[in-house]
Formats: sequence, structure tokens, C-alpha cells
Amino acid sequence: MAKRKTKSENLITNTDSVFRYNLDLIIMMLPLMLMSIYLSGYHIIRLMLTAVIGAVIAEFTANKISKSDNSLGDLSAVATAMAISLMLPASCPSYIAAAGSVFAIIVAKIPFGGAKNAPFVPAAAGFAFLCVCFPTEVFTYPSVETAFNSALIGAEDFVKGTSFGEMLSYGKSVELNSLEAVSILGGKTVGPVGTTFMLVFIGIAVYLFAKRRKKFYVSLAFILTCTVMAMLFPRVNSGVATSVIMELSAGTLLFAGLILIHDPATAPNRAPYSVLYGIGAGIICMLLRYFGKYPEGACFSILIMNAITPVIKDYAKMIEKELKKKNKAKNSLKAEGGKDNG
Amino acid sequence: MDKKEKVGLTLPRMLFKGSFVYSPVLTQSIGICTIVAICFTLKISLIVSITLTFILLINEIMASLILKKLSRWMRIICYMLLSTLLLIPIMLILDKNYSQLNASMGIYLPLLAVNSLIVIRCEKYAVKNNLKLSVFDALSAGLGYGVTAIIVGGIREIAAFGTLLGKTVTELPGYSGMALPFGGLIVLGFTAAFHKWFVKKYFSDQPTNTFPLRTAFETPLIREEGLNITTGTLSILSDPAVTNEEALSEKTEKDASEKAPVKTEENAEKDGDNQ
Repeated sequence: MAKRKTKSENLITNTDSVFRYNLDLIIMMLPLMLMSIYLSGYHIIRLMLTAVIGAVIAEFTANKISKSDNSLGDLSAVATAMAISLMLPASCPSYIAAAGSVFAIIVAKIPFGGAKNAPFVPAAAGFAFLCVCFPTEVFTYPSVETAFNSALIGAEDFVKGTSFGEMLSYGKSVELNSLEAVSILGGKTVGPVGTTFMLVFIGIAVYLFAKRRKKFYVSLAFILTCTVMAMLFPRVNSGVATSVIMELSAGTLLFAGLILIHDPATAPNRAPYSVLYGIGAGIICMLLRYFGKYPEGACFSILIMNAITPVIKDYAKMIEKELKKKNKAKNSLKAEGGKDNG
Repeated sequence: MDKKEKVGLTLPRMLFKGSFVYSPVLTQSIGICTIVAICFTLKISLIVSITLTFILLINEIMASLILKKLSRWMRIICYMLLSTLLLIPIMLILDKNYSQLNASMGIYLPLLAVNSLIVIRCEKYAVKNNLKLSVFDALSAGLGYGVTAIIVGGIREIAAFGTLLGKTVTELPGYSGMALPFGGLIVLGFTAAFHKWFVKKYFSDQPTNTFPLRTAFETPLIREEGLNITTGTLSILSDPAVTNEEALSEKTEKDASEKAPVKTEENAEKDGDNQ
């Protein structure tokens, strides 16, 4: 019962807003896609095509089986598949991207009633599934020079690069000179296909700030928490600034923080609680990075916070009820006092 | 309203209803811990289901023969002691012949001794019934548990390793995550959903409440007159010990008379047809 109540709180009433939200996500992901075509060549197109086709077919058949209305029109399947394919390495085989998006649609989205009230972010769930099932394929990245026409993982001419996540887990650091800064800003670092372009992420943050102010605060809380954690507990010895820059540009932290975390069906809507949600996700993400098995923690942290969200909402309701009661009591006292005086 | 019709409890009917329509895992979600944690290959599922059926059978026989006379708190301790005693030789046999398998099963096979399925079946059925019905019930519950375990284990083995009983089935890449507990929960969830859809479609006249078990077993499989009224009226809390047949029929009649004013349209139509 409690679950239903909390769900109805942030139900999106019309499919139009789902469509607009997902359209915004796709607009935010397009520059990332273009940049990754520039750096990784046709690989991103291959990954994205298989993921999108898999997701669309999965959603169509799942809707047919569950006899619900066709929800392909709200673009959520396309946005989910694009997000998953942008978080994979360029050397990843195509079927992995398709498997991730199909899992996201069939297990994490449709059984819970579609994009409007899925309790977990489908893209994060799909990526987490891939992390667990194919850890070598998902966390082995090609080196920067060979990324454009690199072979798939497992082929003979595949050259493995060392990503920031791996370097951080060994305690290695980069020299922060101007050359390195330019390559970090331009995305010429080893990592997932679409998540290394810091300049583009700044642009996405500005877009989010201009278009959806409330969602931007969630992202800001998440990223600031990660920054503070990186400053307080650096994993490298070469200074706080290096630690912060390396942690932020490693893996899918910024991508998940700016694009996945503020899913309207899962994240709380109103200001204090949504910021709390972001802070919690940031802390869990950094803890997973410090102590976890994988070099990546952002998607897992979002899933964990999704599981905690109903509890947050319940407490929020309780607190608000009590505050209302107190206010009412105060107001009635004041009114009585006024009458007496009059 | 006419008297509730009853059917004799034969072995095939009880096997079918206890294992499929009222599958202990899929409808009551009893004892899912073992299935989720270790049933990731068909071989392990087979071992688990055979072990559980054996323990359950002996427990129900003892419960209906001897343990009836003890008080309740004593009985529950007796079930655990008995199943632990039965597990010791099984563990020794497994350790000698399948030492690798035994290692991969870890603590979860010994944990079958404290499985909730055993206590629930003994307390809800075996204690209140004679030996024959208790044996039937144990076999049906064991079969239901085993079938679920085998389905889940088979699906997970094919998905995770592409093999079945150690033989290669597909050359497709395996999703190793399905061998982890979260894969088990996902497969079990989808199996339960499919089971619910199937039962709702083809056995919609069955009571949705699975307790008391006797009522659930005695409802005929084919749709007959006035049976829908028992749906949802009997629950665990309202009547834990319905043993006497007369008491049962009286109760259902009472419920029927109480429920009569709030009929749905469907029931009203059926009543009209009957008259």
C-alpha cells in the first residue's frame, strides 16, 4: 500500500511529458554521439544501431505480450538504448549492447508498467547487468590512438589502453600539464565511447540548467558530492586537483550524473529531497569506487538510491504532515488571539 | 444455495493441484532461498529437489503418525531435529560422490533442514490429516518444489553457461550474471508471472487463497455450481483448523449467505442460470 502511495506522487500524468523528457535526453546525447564518431569512428554507430534496434523490437513485443498500448512513441526505448551504447567501450561486440538494452526494456521497464513508473532507471539497470555479465568486455578499453579503427576485443590487433579508473585503482596519476588538460577536455582519453568529452559535458550542464532547473540541482548535488569526496579522500598522491579531475573524468560518472540520475519516475521531484537523493548517490558512487570490485560505480549507486527513494518519500510525507499540523495550530492560535483583541 | 460439492482426494488430483495449481514456491513463495541461491544448474536443482522431497516425506509421515500427540512448540523443534538427522547421511553421500558440487552448494543444502516449506506443510496439513493424505501432500509439495527448481535451474544453466546437464546446448555467449542470485530472482519472478497468467486463464474457478490447504485441494478442478463464492473468503487468520468436513461445509454456507448481497455481476448471472 505504501508503495502505491509513493508512486502516485510523482506519476507523470500525460505521455507528452515523457516524450519531451526523452527528447531532451536525446538532444543532450547527440553531441556526445557526434564527438564519439570523430574519435572512435563507426564503432559508436554500430553499437547504437544494434542497441536501438534491440530495444525497439523488445519494447514492441513486450507491449504485444502484455496487451498494453504501444509505447514506442514516447522515445524512452530509444533514449535508453542510446545511453547504454554510449557507456560501452568502442571495442565492445555489438551483441553486448543489444543484450543490455533488451534487458533494460524487458526486465527493468515493461513489467513495472512502462517508463512512467519504473522503479529503477532502465538504462542504469541495463548497464549494471552488462557490468556483471561481461566485466572483461565492458571494462577493457582500446587505447586512444587505435580507437578510431581498432579491432574488437579479443582480436589480434586489439591494443588495450589504461583508463583513468584503472590508474586510480592502482594509485597511479597523470601529470597535469596543459597538453594533458587539452586532451582531457577534448575527450582524447581512454574510456567509454561517449563519456570522455569534458567540454561537451559542460555544454550539457548549461542546457540542463536552462531547460530543466530542478533536474539540474540533482545533477549538481551528485557531482559536487563526488568532487568533495575526491578532495577529502584522494586515491593518488599528486595533489587534490589531480585527484578531482581524474575522478570526474574517469568512467561514466559525469554521464550518469548529468543524463541518467534525474529520471522523473524514480528521482524525487521537490527540492530538499531531490538534492538529498543526489548527495546519497554521490557518496555511494565514490564508496563503490574506493572499495568495489569494478572501477565503475555511478550506475550501481543510482540503482541503490532508486531502491531507497520510497523510504525518503515516506519520511518526507511524515515530516510535512507534522509541519502542517504545527502551522495550523499556530494559525488558529493567532486567529483566536486576533478575535479576542477585536 | 446448494451444498458445496466435494471431490475425493486421489493421488493424481493432489499431485496436479499441489504441484501445479498451488505450487508452493510460485504461489506461496515458500523456500525460495535455496532456489535463488544455488539452483543455477540442472544437476544441483535435481539434487536439491530430491533431497527436499525425501525430508518432507519422512517429516509428514512422522507428523501424522506420532508427532500429532505432542504440543505445538515441541513439534517444530522435532521437525528440525528430524530433518537435520536425515540430512547427515545425504551430505555424506554427496561429499563422497560429488565433492565439487557439494562445495559449490555450500551452506545452502544443509539449510534445507530449516526450510519453511517443511514446517508449514507439517503444521497446516499433516498434523490434521491421516497418513495417506499426508503422504500425498508431501509428494505433491515436493513435486511442485522440484519442478520449479528444475525449470529455474535449467533456464539459468542455459543462460549462464550454454549447457544442460554438462552438455553443450548453444554456442551463444553466456550471461554469467544469471548464475548469481539476482539472475535467480529474475527467472523466478518471470516463472511466477507466467504461472499466474496460466492458472488465471485455465483454472479461474480455483480459490485464490492457498490456506487452508484442505479447502484448496478439495475444490473440484472443473467449474461447478456456486463454487466461486468460496473465493477469497477463507484465510489463514480466520480459520486455522478446519478439519471436520461438516464444519467446513457449514462455514462455506455461512460465508455464502454473508456474501450474497454483495454479488458481482458475473456471479448474479451465474446464479440466474442455475435457477
